[in-house]
Parts: sequence; C-alpha cells; structure tokens
Amino acid sequence: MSTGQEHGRERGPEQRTADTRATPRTRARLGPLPRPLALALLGVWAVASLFALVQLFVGSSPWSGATEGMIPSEHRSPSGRPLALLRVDLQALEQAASPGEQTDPVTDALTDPATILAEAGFAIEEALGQRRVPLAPPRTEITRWLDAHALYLLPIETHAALAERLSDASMLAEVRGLEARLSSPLFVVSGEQPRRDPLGIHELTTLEAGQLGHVTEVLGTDAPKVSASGDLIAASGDRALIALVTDPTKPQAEQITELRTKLEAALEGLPVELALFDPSLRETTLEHQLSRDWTKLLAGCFAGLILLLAIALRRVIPVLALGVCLASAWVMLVWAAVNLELNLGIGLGMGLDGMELASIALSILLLGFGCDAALRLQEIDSRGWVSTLIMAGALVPLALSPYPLWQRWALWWPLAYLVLAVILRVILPALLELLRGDFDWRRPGFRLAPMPALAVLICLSVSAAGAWVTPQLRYRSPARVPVLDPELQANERELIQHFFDPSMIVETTSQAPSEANDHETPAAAALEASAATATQLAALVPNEARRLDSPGSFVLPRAELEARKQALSKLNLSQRMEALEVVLTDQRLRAEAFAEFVRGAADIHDLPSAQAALDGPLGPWINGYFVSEGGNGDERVALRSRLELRGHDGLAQVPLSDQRLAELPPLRGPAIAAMIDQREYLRRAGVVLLAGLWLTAFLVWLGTGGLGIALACALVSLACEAGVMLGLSLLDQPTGPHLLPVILIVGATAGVAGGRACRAVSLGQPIVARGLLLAGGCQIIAGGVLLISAQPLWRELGLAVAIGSALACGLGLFATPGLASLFGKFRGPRSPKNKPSQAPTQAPTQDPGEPKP
Amino acid sequence: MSRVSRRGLLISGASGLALLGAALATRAAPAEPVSRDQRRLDNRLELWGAFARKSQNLVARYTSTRSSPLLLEDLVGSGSLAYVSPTTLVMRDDGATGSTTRIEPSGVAIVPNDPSLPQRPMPKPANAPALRWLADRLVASFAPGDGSALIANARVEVPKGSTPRLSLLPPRDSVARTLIRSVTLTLDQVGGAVIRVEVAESDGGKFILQISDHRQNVEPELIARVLD
Repeated sequence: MSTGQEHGRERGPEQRTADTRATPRTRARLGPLPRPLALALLGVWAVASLFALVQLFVGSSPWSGATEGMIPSEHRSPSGRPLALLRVDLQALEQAASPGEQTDPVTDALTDPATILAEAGFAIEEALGQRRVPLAPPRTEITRWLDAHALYLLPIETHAALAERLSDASMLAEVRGLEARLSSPLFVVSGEQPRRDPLGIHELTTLEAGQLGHVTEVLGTDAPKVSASGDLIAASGDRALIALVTDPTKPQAEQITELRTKLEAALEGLPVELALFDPSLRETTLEHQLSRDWTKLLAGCFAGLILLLAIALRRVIPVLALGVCLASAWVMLVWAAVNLELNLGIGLGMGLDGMELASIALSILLLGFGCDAALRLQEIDSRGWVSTLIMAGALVPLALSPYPLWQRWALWWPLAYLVLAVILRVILPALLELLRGDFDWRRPGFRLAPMPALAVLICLSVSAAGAWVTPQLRYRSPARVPVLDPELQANERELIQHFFDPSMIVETTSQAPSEANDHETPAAAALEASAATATQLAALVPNEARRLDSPGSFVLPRAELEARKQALSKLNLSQRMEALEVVLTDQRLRAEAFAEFVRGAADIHDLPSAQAALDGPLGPWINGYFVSEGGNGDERVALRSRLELRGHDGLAQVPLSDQRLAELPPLRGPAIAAMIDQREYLRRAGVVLLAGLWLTAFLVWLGTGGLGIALACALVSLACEAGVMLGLSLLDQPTGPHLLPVILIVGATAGVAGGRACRAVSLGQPIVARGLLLAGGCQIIAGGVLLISAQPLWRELGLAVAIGSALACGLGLFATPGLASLFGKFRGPRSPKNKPSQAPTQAPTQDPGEPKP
Repeated sequence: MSRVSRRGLLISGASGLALLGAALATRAAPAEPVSRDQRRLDNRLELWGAFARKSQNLVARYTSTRSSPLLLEDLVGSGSLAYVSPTTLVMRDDGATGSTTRIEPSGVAIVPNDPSLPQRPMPKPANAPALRWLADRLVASFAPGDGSALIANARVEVPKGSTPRLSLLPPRDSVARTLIRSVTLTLDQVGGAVIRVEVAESDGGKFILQISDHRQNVEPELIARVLD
C-alpha cells in the first residue's frame, strides 16, 4: 500500500503490479524516487544502520540509569556523599550464644550489638581515614556544648519565666518534684534527663524544638542516636549508619566499588552485614536492569507488530522489510541518543545522554506509532504528510513544560519520527520494489454516516468525566523512580525505618555576608549566617519537617549573643546555682551529679559563638558542611543545612505554600521540586495539552482547509485525553509528569484518525476501517508490550497508551465526523466534492470491491 | 480343617498387628526431650499462674527502694498497689513526698502526690518503646493468663537458687535495652504471688518493689481507694 501508490495512482491495482515491472518509466524509478537516487539512499541507509548497529554492540552501553531526568538540575540529589548501613547479624549472635545464657557481663560484652558496631566503626575509621566523616555531631562533644550553653539557648522572651524558675521556692518545688518522681519504677523510661536539666528549663524551649537535630531526641524513643564518633545508631541498637565522602572529580560508580571492597575487608570477621546507599548505586542497578530488559521489550514489540501485520496483510517479505526499516530507525535513534549532542545555540545541551527508563519507553512507542507512516492510510491532505506532521509534532508542546527530559524529547521525538517516516515512505517502497513485494491491505470500506448527537454526547460525557477525575488522581512524584530490585528496596526500607528517608532530604546554603566583620573569619561569618537560616528552618519542625541537620543550630549570631548575655547577667546566675546546690543536698540528692548543669548555667562568659564552635571540638564536624559557592574570582564560603521533610517517596506530607517557600531560605532537593510540581501539575499539564490540541487543530486545518474539521479533531483529541484520565482513575493508577508524552501522543493520534474520517466523509468516500484499525492495533501492541513489562513506570505508560489508542481509534473514527457535521463545515479541502476521482488519496477508490462514489 | 484355619488366622492376625505396631514404633519420631531450662521456665510460669490466674483485681501493699547515682542514700517509701484486669495498674505512695504511678489504657503518668509540685509530661507509650516495654512487663506481672503475655517481647532467664525467680530482659534489638537491663520477679514459693519486682537500670540504678498483703478480687470500693 505504500509502494507504488504514488506512481500507480491512475491505474487499477491489478494492472499496477504487472505494469511496474514492465514499463520503462517504472524501470527508471524505484519507489517514489528515480532509481539512481533511490539506490544511493538505500546504500546510505544500509551503511548508517549497520554503523549504528555495530556501535550499539561495540561502543559504550547506551543504557542509562538516570532517575532524575524530570527534575530541574538545581533540585537534583547531590552526589559524593554515600552512606554505609551496618547491620549486626543477630541470628549469628543468637546461635553463638549458649543456651540458657546468663547475664554474665563478659558474655554480654562479647555478644553485645553496641560493642560490635563500635568495633566495626573503629575498623572503618582505620580503613578509610578521611573518607569517613561524622554524620552527626559527636555525642559527647555536642552534649557538653549544649549543657555548657543551656541558658543561652533560651530566647530573651523566656527570661522572665527563667527568673521565676530560679527562685528559691520554685527550685525547691522542682527538686521535690524530682524526688517524688524518682519513687516511680517508670522514672527511668520517662524521658527525663535530670542530670542535664534538673529544673525543667528545656520546657521553656519547646518552641525551638528541632533546632538541636539528632541530639535532642529523648532516650528510649524510636529516633536514632548519635554514637561517640558521630555515626547514627538505630534506636534498636543493632544498626549503624556511617557517612562517607567521595571525590566529585572521579567517576562515582568506580569509587563506590572501591569503597565497598575496602569496607568489606575492614569488616571481615565481624558479624556485620553491609549495605551502601548512593544515587549512583540506584542508577547502576537500574542500568543493569535496563540492559537486561530492553531486549525483551524490543523483541516483544517486534514480535507483536510483525505478527499483527503478517496476519492482517498476509505477506511475509513486505512485513519483514517493514520490520527491518523500523529496527534500523530504532538503532539509529539509540546511537544518536548516546553520541549526538544537539545544541540549540542557546547554550542548552539537548542530547539525551543515553537511553534511560522513559526514553526507552518512548522509543518503543515510536515503533508502534511510526507504523502509521508505512501504512499510508486515507490521508488528511492531498500529499499525505499532514498526519505525519501531526504525529511528529505530538511532543513539541513538551518544550513548554519545566521537565528537562521532556524538553529534550520535544526535539528528539519530531526528529526521530520524521526520520522514521522518511525511511518508511522512501526507503521501504524502494526496498519492496527491489524485493518484488508489496502490501495488499485494501478491502471494501463502509460509508460512515455522521452521528452528531451521539458524538456530542460521547465527547461531552467523556471530557466531563475526565475533567472531574483528573484532580482526584494520585500524583506520582518524578523525584522517586521505582527501581525494581528486591535487595535495594529492602535496604531502602530499612534505611527509612531506622534512620531517615534520603528522598525527603532538602538543603540550603548560607553564605557569609560580603562585608564580613573584621574580627571573624569567613567560615565563622558563614556559620553565623547559617544560625539565622537554622532558626527559620526550625520553624518547620515538627509539623512540616522531621529533623533539621545544621551546625547553625548550635550557635547564635553575635548580636543575639550579646543581647542574651546582658539579659542573663541580670539573673545573678552564680548565686542562684549556689542556692540550687544547697537545695539539692537538703533533699538528699547528690549535688555533684548535677555539676555539669550548675557549671554551665553559672558561667555566662563562655559564649556559644560561631568562632568558638569552629575552634572547639565541634570544628571537624562543622567543616564537613562547608561548600564553596560562586566562581570567577568571587568564590565565597557557604555552609550547608539539611532538612528532612515529613513524607515518603519524595512527596511531602505537608506541602509548603509558595508564600511560605518564599519566606524561607531557598530550599533545593528532589522533594522540593516534587512539592512544587504537585501543586503546579494540573496547570503545567493544561498548558502543554492545550498547546498540543492547538497544534493538532492547526495542522488539520492546514491539511483540510476546514475549520470545523479542525475544531472537531481538537475536541475529539481532548475527549480522548480525558478518556485516558478516566481509565486511569477507574484502574486506580497514578498520574504525573511521566504521563504527559503519552497523553499528547494519544491526543495527536485521535486528531489524525478524526481528520482521516472527516476527509473521507467530506469526499464521499468509504472509510477503510481495516487500515485504521490496523494502525491502532500497532499502537496498542506498543502500549501492551510496555504494559506487560517488569518496570512499574513502563507498565503505567503502557496502560495509558493502550487505553488511549483504543479510544483514539474509536472516537476519531465515529465521533469526529459527527462533530464536524454539527459544525457544518464539511467543505471539500481543495477538491470539489463531486470530483472524488481527482482526490489525491486514491487508495480506497482503486479497490475493485469498493463502490464508486 | 476349620479349627486349624481359625488358629492360623489368629496367629497371623496377631503377628500382623505386632509387626504393624513395631513398624509404627520405629517410624514415630522420638519425643523431643524438654530442656532443663525450658522445664524450669515452665515450672516458674506454672507457679506464677497459680496465683495470677485468679486475679481479676488485686490490692497489695509495697515497700519501694530506689538506688540511683543521683541520690545520696536510697530512697525508701511505701504505698498501695492496685491492679484491675486487664491493663490497669496503679502504685500510690503513702506520703506526700511520693508519687502515684498510673498505667492505664489511656496512657501512663507519674503524678506527685503533692499537687503543688510540678508534673512533667510523659511521652505516649506508642512513641516510647522503652516506656511501653517496662509498663507492659509490670502490668503483665499481675495480669491473669498463661504467662505468654509476661514473656512476650522479652528474653527470659530463670536464675538458679531455691527462691523462685524469673528474669525478663529486653530483646537484643529493643530500644528498651539502652535504659533497662532486666526486670526480675520473685515469686512466693507456695502461692506463686509476685512478692518482689526488681528493675535493674542501665545506668547502674535499681528499683525494688517489695510486695506484701496480697488481696485478690476485692470489693470495688477497696480498689477505688487506691485508684482514685
């Protein structure tokens, strides 16, 4: 149906096959082109395909495990900070312990998970040296720091309450209350820490909870604790989390492998299991899966397409030739995705940087939807390129979206589709003529009577239902692409359960002001700036955020310090602490046990300033938070602060409004990108889909010249897209930016199907539904192959494609003519209605079984 | 002929049954010997259950002794204990310097007996595994049952000696381990009532509850005197 269609237009199909081999004119042409040119193109195509194929097997792997392609670059996860989770093998310990074990201190020490984890920590510190960094401030040092400056942590507004609490009567009541509580068996598990705070002063700082990060967690709760060396210890006591650093200038995957080898060697002999976490590890795992799954996906797609076409067309060689053409286009696309760096001249690299999860799915869809170009059904316009242009331009509206990967595909899809169309319309006919094969799909069509009422009813109801369910659909965050690896998933669950969720970590940086104080180093100035940041971020704990991790939590700006010092000096703290010691002794309590608190409260000259923190034992830990920002001679020291938002899978449980985000320091991270996108998704999707509808209508109008047809096509596309959303809702599937290309493609497909049906009706020709159904079948097969694949993201895309293609075929065929007739604009495009024989699309009229108009 | 046949039939039947019995005896798995530790644990639980099984409610007197590095000398007090099935336990110190410990389905609280003294908020048991573990053990010590609730979520040891004792330790992966080393119950040798509860704390402190004058299933008014 493709070959010979152009040049055999004036003759019947029976004569055409014989004549094309006989006449000198046809001998001079090969397909639609002159023979020499066609042969040259065939040669170029064969060489290019072979070259790409060889490169695919010989060159570097084209598969990419990148999972953050849809997140703006400034919000992507930072690299270079892997985590090591150590898990004590409790089963081995239980087996090693003798039955009826007594609480023998020696035995207990040997089989104690805390001891084993401490041993493991020492071994790792020795093996890795500077590459192991504290994840939290070392417990002893930070406790001492907080105890020494306990009163400085109180805001000035609370000093009146503090003065009241330091009165004789109040102190006596507090100490007697402590004594009364000590007579309860539950005192030890009540969370009270009388040594650090016998007077309950921390109650005055409840509004500032969260500022102190991990160190304020109450003993006996599920929150992780900090070890003496700054690692995190799970509340269960049998797991530890250790932070590592890698060199950002070297390949991350290689460094992770090296780290794993060293860690395993260091932990040899200890009953400890190791799990590493790093974005690059997720990517490597996904890359391995893709390098394994792509063959199944591609083979399934080709098997399905060839089977369907072979059954429908009842020819083997032409179908195989079509398969070869599709394969060559796919191979060239994959080669280009790896090796071609498109640059639009605006400094924006538009290369795909490898085939990642979503790109592979789109390349499969390209095969299914590209078959349409080969089949060359009844066309919308005289030349038959409008349908190709509509399909090629389907993803162009994605350029308006903020998703980097989709912005790239807005350029790559049209290029790939056009290359595929050229191959199928130029190379395939020439190839078929050389092979002496041809398609024969023509069957009698049927005359379609427009049904305006039914069309309006269907389109309105589907659109309304789709519009109603769309806001209610679950949103899938682009921040967390699921990786189908049981071990990785189990490790990630363990990390979240016992420590924190890395997908919920967002961060900000605090720069030292340009006019830094002469008395301060840039680092101290940055730390002071970080203190202000930490105060702002602490307001998010505990409702919006779970935990704040910032060295700025432990210091105060100099001005605030001076003000607090002045206010504290009015409280006669030395005298008050002496009185407290007397009260403690009178109430039979050991005053020495509270010495840290008494000393820290009495000495207000030791300020928790930024410089003091940097010069003290907290310095090494704080140094790990410094980053250098700016460049070109304007490099400035900045300090990083991290916040763990409440939520899961990269989606915040309590989204922050735009106004709240604007008030906070600029937060970055996949969870922030997802939070903004979730709020903006419907608006963004609306803009993109409207642009797609407009483009489809515009191209249909160009092809048909009928505004009513164009409008009808756009409305049917809209109904089709709404139908996809309705189907997803009924099947309890999520929506999200990952579905945008699919929705656009099915919308364009509906527009093409509608345009063809309207064109046939306007010309009074019968509609060859078989061809339209065949094209729809190819599309459904591409979606179906994705639907039965292993990757969850592919399955969701495949389901949407399968639903959308079926709807596009049905609605396009039966609803569009009805809508167009309603608009009353069935004007013949450029050929009058009474001259169908001169219409450019002649295939159905050439069919002998078809009634002549 | 018929007599011989009958005898043969009897002999062959008996032989067959004997063979079948022998085969079944050889095939049957040997009964797993109950370990000595398990037997001792069963005995302790049986003794404990002999008293606890009947306790729909319980009132008793106690003497408490707290040893702590915070104290110059041990803090000794006395009071009344009331248990109401299934999950309410109240320990009310006698003096105004003491406190009342309430473990109830609605929550856990330590309330100083002198209302003028400040009270500190307690975490919810759901958020404080260590608190939950100890409170559950204390309640289970007096609750009727077969002992499974008492030893659930705990490592159990049966200390040797003539005095029947039962030690409950937090599991190795439990948060409670950071604060509690063990809870040891001492049982009455005859009746099985819990007569002493010793809580060994991880910081070296110790809390001992010496219980006497147990009265089971008493009138509600008597219970109410302790509870309210």
